[in-house]
Amino acid sequence: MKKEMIQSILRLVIALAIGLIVSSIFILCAGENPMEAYAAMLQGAFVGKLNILTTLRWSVPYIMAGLASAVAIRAGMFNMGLEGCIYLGGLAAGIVGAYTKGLPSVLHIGLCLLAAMLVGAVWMYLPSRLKAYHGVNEVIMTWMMSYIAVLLCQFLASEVFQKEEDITSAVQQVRTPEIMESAKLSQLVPPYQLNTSFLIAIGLCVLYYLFANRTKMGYEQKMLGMAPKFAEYGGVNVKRMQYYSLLFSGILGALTGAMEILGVHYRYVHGFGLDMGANGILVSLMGRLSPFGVPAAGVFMGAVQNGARAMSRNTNVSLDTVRILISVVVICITAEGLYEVLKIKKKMREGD
Amino acid sequence: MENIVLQLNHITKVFPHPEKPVVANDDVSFELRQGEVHALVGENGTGKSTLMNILYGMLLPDEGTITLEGERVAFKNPRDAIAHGIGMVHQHFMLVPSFSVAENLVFTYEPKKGIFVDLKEAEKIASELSETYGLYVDPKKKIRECTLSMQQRVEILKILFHGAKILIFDEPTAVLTPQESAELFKAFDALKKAGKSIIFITHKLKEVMAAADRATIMRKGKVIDAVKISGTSMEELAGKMIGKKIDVTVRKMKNTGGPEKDRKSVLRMEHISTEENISGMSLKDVTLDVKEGEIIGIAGIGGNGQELIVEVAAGLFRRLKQGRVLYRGEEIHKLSPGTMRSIGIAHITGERYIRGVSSQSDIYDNMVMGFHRKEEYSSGMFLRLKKLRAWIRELVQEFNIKTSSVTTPIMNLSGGNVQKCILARELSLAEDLIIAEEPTRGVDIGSIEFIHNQLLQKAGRGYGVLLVSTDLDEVLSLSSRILVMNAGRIIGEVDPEEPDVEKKIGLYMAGVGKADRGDRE
Repeated sequence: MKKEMIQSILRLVIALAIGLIVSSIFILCAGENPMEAYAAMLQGAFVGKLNILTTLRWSVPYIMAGLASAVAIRAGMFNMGLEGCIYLGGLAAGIVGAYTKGLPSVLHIGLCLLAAMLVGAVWMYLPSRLKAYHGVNEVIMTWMMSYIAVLLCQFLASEVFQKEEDITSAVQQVRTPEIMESAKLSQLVPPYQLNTSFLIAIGLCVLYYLFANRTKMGYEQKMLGMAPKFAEYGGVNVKRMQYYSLLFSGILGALTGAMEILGVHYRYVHGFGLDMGANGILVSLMGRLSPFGVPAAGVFMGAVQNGARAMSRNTNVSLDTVRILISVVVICITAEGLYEVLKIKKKMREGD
Repeated sequence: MENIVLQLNHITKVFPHPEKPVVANDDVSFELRQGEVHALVGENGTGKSTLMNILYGMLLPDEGTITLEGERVAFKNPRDAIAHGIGMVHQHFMLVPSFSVAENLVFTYEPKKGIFVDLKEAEKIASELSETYGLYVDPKKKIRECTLSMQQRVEILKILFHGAKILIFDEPTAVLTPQESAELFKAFDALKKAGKSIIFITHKLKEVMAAADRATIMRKGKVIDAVKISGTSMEELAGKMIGKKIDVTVRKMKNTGGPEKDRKSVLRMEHISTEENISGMSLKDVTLDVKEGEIIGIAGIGGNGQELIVEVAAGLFRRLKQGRVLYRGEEIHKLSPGTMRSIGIAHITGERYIRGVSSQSDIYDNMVMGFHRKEEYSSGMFLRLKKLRAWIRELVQEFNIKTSSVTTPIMNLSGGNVQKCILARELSLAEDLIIAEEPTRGVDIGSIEFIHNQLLQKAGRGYGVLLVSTDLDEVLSLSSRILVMNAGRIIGEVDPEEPDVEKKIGLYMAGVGKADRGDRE
């Protein structure tokens, strides 16, 4: 266990180092000093109450989307349609939050989250079913349905639920009415955006840990993802496992969106979940699907994104540079073979 | 005076591995004389193939040199080796199934007519070569329509067409019936007469005695001895090959226990016919009965439907057209593999690294499969981790699996130990039936003994065992009864103790059954 921990930390450090080196090339091209840029980034992410809390606030959707993606990848599938689920969940929560009146806060929030999860499950039912029982490729299926979902949300929000008074020349946004006070997730340290959804995310990480390491299904899911033939031979109900894994991925995705709406935006704002799905997949890969790795990667992602904003404010470096950093880090972490080569080379040198 | 055409001098090859580098060849020297059949003998995994891959230019040696006709050579790739007159007939044929025999023969060296391949010329080349060496092929036939033995002949002609003077055969008889093997050995004689030299890789000693002039014996990456066949015996070869004297034809299974009628049936297949699987094989009216305390051996050339029998019995292939499968008298052919396992059907799979283990996981994760659903090791949806871990440790000890810890990745174990992990898991899960598919393929000799004894013990305790193996000696030594498969059918049943049993099985394997034997006579 200890050896593994050290190895995964080492892996992360090496990946990060390579990522920073590669990004500095691009920063140099932009005519800036990489060291200064990184310093600005680090400061923007971690120095000061505002920056730390904002980093944590951003880590919530990444952790959540990361868990959602991890549940599918663990069973050997990619849910490319996370983004669609995030929008749908957000819209469902936003509508239930705005139009249900007179409920106590806990019930109202619960109802909103439940509605989002239900919508997520309904949306993922078809691809899950088709993948598990009919062998349809889930990547294409979920990916394409994601586009439909995003546009459907835009249509519903602007044509059905948007109120006249919300359309102002100042805010040219597709958005639904503000949710009731009772549906809002309270801020942990007002007036900062960090809210109780952070605690929900941590709770889900604990549940994910229990599921992954302590349950029969968690074990079977892992084996299915690592060696489908072995799982089938070993008696795992492959179809059912695939079906529920993909379905749950969608449900968690919808929950991600709902928590964003209830905790930060207080109304459905179209575009709130831009790239969240893709980033969730990256987080789950960066965290190597581990119950510790995913939240760590989520915080890392939050820090990098938040820090990058500061960096682009204070230097000439574009916000997009961090995308290079993140991409390289993900490639390095997921490139299993790279480390094998390093290890073998080292052994061979020792042997000489 | 025979000339030495090829010398491999002090070849050493080490495969790097982070935990335990494998020394595949350790200071190996080898000599081939003009016009001889030289057998390279050894157990699986003793470095025969590595040595030949070095000769063929597929691997580079770490140390050592190759001398070909007195000249020092170093092949960078197989093309280089072919250009120097070395040809190899691989275990898995390198032919294009949708091309004809002639097209395959001239592949990459095609005679041209303009920019097109001159098919007529290719066919002429094929029939000429075929005649010269007495290796019959039909130039116009598509490869996928050819029998395995004809495909092999195409391979041989192909390398002769490339101008090979030294021919390497890697386990050529693995896909052949005994009769076809005899044909192949006749072809060896023709090739010898034409001045070719042959290296014949095998671990079957009978074939060495029948076909070779000399033999080099390898064990654990080292050359033990090089002998003349006329001055040795099979027992001596076997002794050198495995390092201790053994009787090569011992019957380990004793047909004892009460009369057959009194024994209960454990597994019964009644008139099973299936749809085709991916490789186009299907079962046709298969009926068999495994009773308690019996080991039923299924013999046959690989790929004649054995794997389907196993998959049907284990619930992995459920597309039946007719028939039913009974386990302890109850129908099971509609159940899922999970249910089948939970009622005590254990399956030692032949696809060890695909099905048998999750190769990226550790020993613990691999051995837990199946136990994790037992009431003893779980409560509700949760696993009892401590109990499971203790149990797996116990199994590792009981089955003498050589590892420092249960969290070692399974792929760090040797083939024999991986198989022992599977065996430990399956035998402990079994309640009445054990399906053993190629249980000792690619396993070291010590583990073979161990695995055989375990199976015999289980049969002795009343378990029914269905043994599927392409290793005829294994089937002969362990089975109470033997069923022979050909093209998806059970073509015959033999008693392993009757005289001349091997010849009979050979005929069955070739598809000559009781029914059509009459026609031929």
